[in-house]
Amino acid sequence: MITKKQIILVLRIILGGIFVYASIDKFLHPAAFAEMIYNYQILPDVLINLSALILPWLELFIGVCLIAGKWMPGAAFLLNVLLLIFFAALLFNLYRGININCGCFSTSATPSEADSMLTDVVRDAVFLAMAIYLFIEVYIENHRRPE
Amino acid sequence: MKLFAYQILRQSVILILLSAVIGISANALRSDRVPLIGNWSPEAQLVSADGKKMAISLEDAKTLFNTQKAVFLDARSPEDYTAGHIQGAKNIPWLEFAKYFDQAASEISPDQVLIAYCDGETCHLSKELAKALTEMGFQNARVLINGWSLWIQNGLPIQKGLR
Repeated sequence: MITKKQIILVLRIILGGIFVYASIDKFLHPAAFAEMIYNYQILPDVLINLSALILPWLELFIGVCLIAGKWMPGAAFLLNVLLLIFFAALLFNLYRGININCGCFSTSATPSEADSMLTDVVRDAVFLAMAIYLFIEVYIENHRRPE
Repeated sequence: MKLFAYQILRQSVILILLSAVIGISANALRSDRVPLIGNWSPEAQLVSADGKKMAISLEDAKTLFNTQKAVFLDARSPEDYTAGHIQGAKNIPWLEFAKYFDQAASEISPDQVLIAYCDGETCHLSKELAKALTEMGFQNARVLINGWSLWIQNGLPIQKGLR
């Protein structure tokens, strides 16, 4: 019998692992990642490079927190916020018809097809659903045993 | 609930601040660091394959026009060109590049300054044209971003009709 606790543990490791993994290429190629952010054509110019420098670390910390099970309220919350932003940004550009590489895991700039953007959107939606469930469970857990 | 919200807020703020401090510091230590505030203007974006800036200012374009030291290339459609273009400009519609290039090429030399233009800040026709020409060996292909609008706004000489 799989318990809720086990499901949560698996979700934490999957989502945490994804975030840690996603941060690696961005650490290695900050300039290429900045270009990716620019291609989304959403952020004002002054924030592009700062985001490219800060986001990989934030992803790494959130990922580590999730895997380690530390600071779950903050980590699960930021996880949802970031996934929501990524999801919205992808949808926005899919709607605008701008063909961009999502830059989710790799910063290599091969232009992507519209249908692969759709794949990105669906994948993000799955991550987001998992993250929302995790956040709800963290909330319930937090209220069962207040510190 | 209050406690949970407080935890979220406190932990999120710390995580974000930590990321900002470490991210900016780590960047400063790298040899391939990026500037904290990058230049993402159309002019800065426009560089040729060998890293040369391709954008030209209106002032420079005007000087070259007056001294007749540059050939202006209209990258827009033949219809737009016929309706009005920079005086003396040749029409190489980017979307029909193959069809128009040969004739235009016979009238320009590789070392000549070429100034491609189209209409609008984000118009990519002139950029693509200039990049293609650079790759073909025209070393001095430049782009006057938003050229047509700027030219008219400044009351510079235009002409209508075919070449």
